[in-house]
Amino acid sequence: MLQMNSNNGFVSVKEIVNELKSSLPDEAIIDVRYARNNAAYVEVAREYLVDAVGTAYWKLGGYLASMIGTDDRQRDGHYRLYYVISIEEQINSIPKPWLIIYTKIPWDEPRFESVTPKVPAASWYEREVRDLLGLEPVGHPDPRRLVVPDDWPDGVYPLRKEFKFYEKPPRAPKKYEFMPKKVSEGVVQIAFGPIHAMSDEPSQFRLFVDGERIVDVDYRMYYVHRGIEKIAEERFTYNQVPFLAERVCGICGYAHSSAYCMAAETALNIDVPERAEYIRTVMLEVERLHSHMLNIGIACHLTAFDWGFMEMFRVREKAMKIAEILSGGRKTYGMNLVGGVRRDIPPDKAKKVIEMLRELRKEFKEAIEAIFSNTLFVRRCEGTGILEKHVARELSVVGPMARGSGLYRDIRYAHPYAAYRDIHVKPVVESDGDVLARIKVRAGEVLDSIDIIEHALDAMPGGPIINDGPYELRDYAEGIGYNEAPRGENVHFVVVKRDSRVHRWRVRAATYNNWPALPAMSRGYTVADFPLIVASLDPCYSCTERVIVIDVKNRKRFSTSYARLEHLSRRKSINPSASIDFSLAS
Amino acid sequence: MAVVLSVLKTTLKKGKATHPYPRRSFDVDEYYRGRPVIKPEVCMGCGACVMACPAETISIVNDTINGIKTWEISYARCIFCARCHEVCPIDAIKLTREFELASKRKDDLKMVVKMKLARCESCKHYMMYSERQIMFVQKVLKKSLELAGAAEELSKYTMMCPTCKRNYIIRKIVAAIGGGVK
Repeated sequence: MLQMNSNNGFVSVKEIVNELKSSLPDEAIIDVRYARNNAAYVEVAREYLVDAVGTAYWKLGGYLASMIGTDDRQRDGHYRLYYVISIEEQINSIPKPWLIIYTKIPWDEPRFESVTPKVPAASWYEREVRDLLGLEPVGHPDPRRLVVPDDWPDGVYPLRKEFKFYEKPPRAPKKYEFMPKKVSEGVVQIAFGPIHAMSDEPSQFRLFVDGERIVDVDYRMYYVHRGIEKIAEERFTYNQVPFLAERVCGICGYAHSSAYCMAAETALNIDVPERAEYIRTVMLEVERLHSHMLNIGIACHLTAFDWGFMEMFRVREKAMKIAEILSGGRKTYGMNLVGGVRRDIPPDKAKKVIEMLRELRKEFKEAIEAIFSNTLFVRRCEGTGILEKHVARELSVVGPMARGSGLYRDIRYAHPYAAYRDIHVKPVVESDGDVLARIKVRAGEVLDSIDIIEHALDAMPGGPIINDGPYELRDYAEGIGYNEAPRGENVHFVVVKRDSRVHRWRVRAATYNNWPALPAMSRGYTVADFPLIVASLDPCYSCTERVIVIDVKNRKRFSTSYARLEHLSRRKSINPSASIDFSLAS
Repeated sequence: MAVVLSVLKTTLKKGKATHPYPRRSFDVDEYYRGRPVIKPEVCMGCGACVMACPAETISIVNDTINGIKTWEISYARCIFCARCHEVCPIDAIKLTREFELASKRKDDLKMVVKMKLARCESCKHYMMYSERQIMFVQKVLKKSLELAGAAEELSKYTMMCPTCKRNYIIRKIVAAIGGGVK
């Protein structure tokens, strides 16, 4: 719950950098630069990249928050790779330090040693850099594509500056192969998607099943890669990007636009008025409210407890109404600009919202109590989709996923931003790591969010809501922005140029860190569990069409409808792998 | 059993929550930000909204042959952000609470304002500014106290196209130096 601020025993980022220096040879670190928000940019020589990131991750207790590749050939003839690491473990003081380890890669030798064998969390990031910038991670265990489509020609790299956003390269023959970690006899592949539900983006899963049990899961995503980063680089000025940023996601749009704004504000050294920071905090929490309620509702739906689904959506409607009152639209869009916010919260609105929150809290408590007292629902979720703590640590999992697996991670707590500098948040942590634990975390956070909104509206300072300049623009000004979206931390990185253009903008949405944990969560469970496990990751549930079952040996293929899969998931009442007293569940 | 009871209790108490939307109109909140509408009698076509619009849905085209400035918005791309309303210097854009835009004809999603372009006083060609824009500039000049003396001279410039303005100034400079112009 809430605690007021007290910043004692502060560990500065300088001590962390010194620690990093002491564990690497002298010639490894080339340059160190300190920035706002307790961050340090450390340039390391290319040969020591793996050692530096590995040390920061495992020895200094860091989590990989993002990794960015930039094409800086026009600047100084290099590509740059930034590994953004949030140092969280072993440090009790707040705010915790950010370590941004970067290295330069010469333009004529686009290769670097892969960090993935040492830090598995870097896997997706390095595949993305290979696809979009053509930088080859030498020694990466997965040679397949991640971002660009299967029929994209080799040697065309969309994020290089010579590639224009309107270009359409010719199609090349398709190549992509799903592969399990281990190949064994009698394993059948089930294709799941690509047009289907449970995520913001259509993604194709391949389930390798032995009987009904899932042996392994492989996936192919990025079917709706929209090239937003490229469009922003070529068409937008830094102050127009917030409107594009909020369209990254249909649910946590406000989190993305405020993370972008924070990145730009950090880069350009803009001070945001206090009132604007409070308004941002209120909006972020409103977003968390409706997102978490949606996810709890969907978990009920997938376990055939439709009353819970309907009731959650009825209660959620109040949160949507609050969003409408505060932002002028149900989707919390169009509120942010670099430097502050556009709409104030006058006292009459605040009063109305506080009244609605009171009702919301009461109704939510009643509904969640009824949901948790349904033994069938609880047993279905208990012991399903367990994510072990050490796997979560390896993959830098974020949000309710991490907290459900016992990791004490919440960026509102670790790196307070906006009004969280004054309002301390204590993360809701559950240690079981199953679907139920994640639902419990979300339920706890809904109640916390209501408290935070009430407190922020109450304690909101006066003054202007936007600092509209003039700002001093610099060439290649870098900044990171972050916040805790409903699904976990969003980290944005932006490089702004003097002509107010965006040189590079990197969006890292929360689910990016969570997807790679899916195979580990699904192994050993049944096909009917799979929708529930994917839904507990909290992607959006919209439009699964069908499932194709393929028998690899006979090359036979037969389809089942989505409705049938949903039915399977809903019909299954309890999880047989958990130890249950069957006499009670009749 | 306890679940059934609490479920029943809530359901009976709350009743039906679904709004019969298309049959009954849906009331949005008074703070709802709906589609922006132009006031054609006020707009001067300065283009501030065109520059600010993140969705690039507003456009201005100057037809200097027929002397018409066309301002156009297409709601098909509009994201209802109200940036145009915010930047408009003369409040020519009004926000509404409308959100139902579905239509079978694409043209229904367009709103077009046409206004007259001003003529240059010396060469009589159409300029890139509308008449209202020039009136607005003259009004601003009059209000500006520091320019009190020069305002009259400056408002002469407002009625000239860039080429004529350049020629006029060159002539004045040359006259001041004391040479001749052929």
